[in-house]
Amino acid sequence: MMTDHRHPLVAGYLDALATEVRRLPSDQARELMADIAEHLDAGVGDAANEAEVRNALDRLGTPRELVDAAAPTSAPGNEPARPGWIEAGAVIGLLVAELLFVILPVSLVAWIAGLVLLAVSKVWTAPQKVLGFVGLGTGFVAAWLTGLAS
Amino acid sequence: MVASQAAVTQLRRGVLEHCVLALLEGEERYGYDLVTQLSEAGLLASEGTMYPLLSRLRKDELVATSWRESPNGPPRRYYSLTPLGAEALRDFRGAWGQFARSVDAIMGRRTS
Repeated sequence: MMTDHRHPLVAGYLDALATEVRRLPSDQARELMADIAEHLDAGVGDAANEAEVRNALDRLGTPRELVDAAAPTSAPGNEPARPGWIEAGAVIGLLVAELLFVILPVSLVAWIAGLVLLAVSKVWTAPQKVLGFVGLGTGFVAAWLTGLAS
Repeated sequence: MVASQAAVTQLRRGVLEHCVLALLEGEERYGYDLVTQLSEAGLLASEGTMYPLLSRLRKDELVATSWRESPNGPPRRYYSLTPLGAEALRDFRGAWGQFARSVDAIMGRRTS
C-alpha cells in the first residue's frame, strides 16, 4: 500500500474508515477501503495543502456515512414473514379434525377451517403447503373412509 | 424550505443510479472521474457514498469493471456499461422523459 506518502489527515481518515468497515462482510469491507483509498490518491495530490485535503475529506462524507450506505438495508418491511395465528390455526384445525374425527360436526368444521388457513398462509411455500396437506389434511378423510368400510 | 430540500434529496437518490449508467454510455470511466462529474452536477450529497452504489451496480451486473494502468500511480478500476445496464438505461430514459414532461406541465401551469 502507498501509505507512506499520504497526508496525515488522509491517513487518519483511512484509519477511521478501517475501524468502521468492520461492520461489513470482509470482501465488502476490503472493496470499500480500496475504492476510497484510490479516490483519495487520485483526488488529493502529494502537493495538496491542508485546506484542500480537508475540503476533499468533507466532500467524501464521514466514514460512518460511507459504511451506512454500504451496509445492507434492514428496513422493517424486508424481514421474512414469521408464522403467526394463520399457521397455528391451520395446524390446530387439521390436528383437531384428525383426533376428533368421530365427532363429525366438530371435525368437519375444523378440517375445512384448517385447509382454508393452510391455503391462505403467506409464510409457507406451495410445496410446504402440499406437504402439510398430505401429512395432516388427509388423515381425517382416511379415518372416515376406514370407518365407512368397516 | 426543509420540505423542498427533503424532496430534492429523494429525487437525487432516485435518479443517481441511472445517471451513472448514462455517464458510462459509450465510454469507460474510473471511479474518481464518475464521482467528480456527478458531484459537480450537484447530484451527490457525499462523494464517498457513490462507491457502495457502484459496488451494487456491479453486483447487479449493470456495470462491469476492469483494472487499467494509470499514467501516474497505481492501476485504476474502470467501469463500463453491460448490455443489461444499457437496457436499464434505455428503459429509464423513456420513463424519465414522460415523468419530466408531466411534472413540467403541472409546474408550469400558472405561467403559460
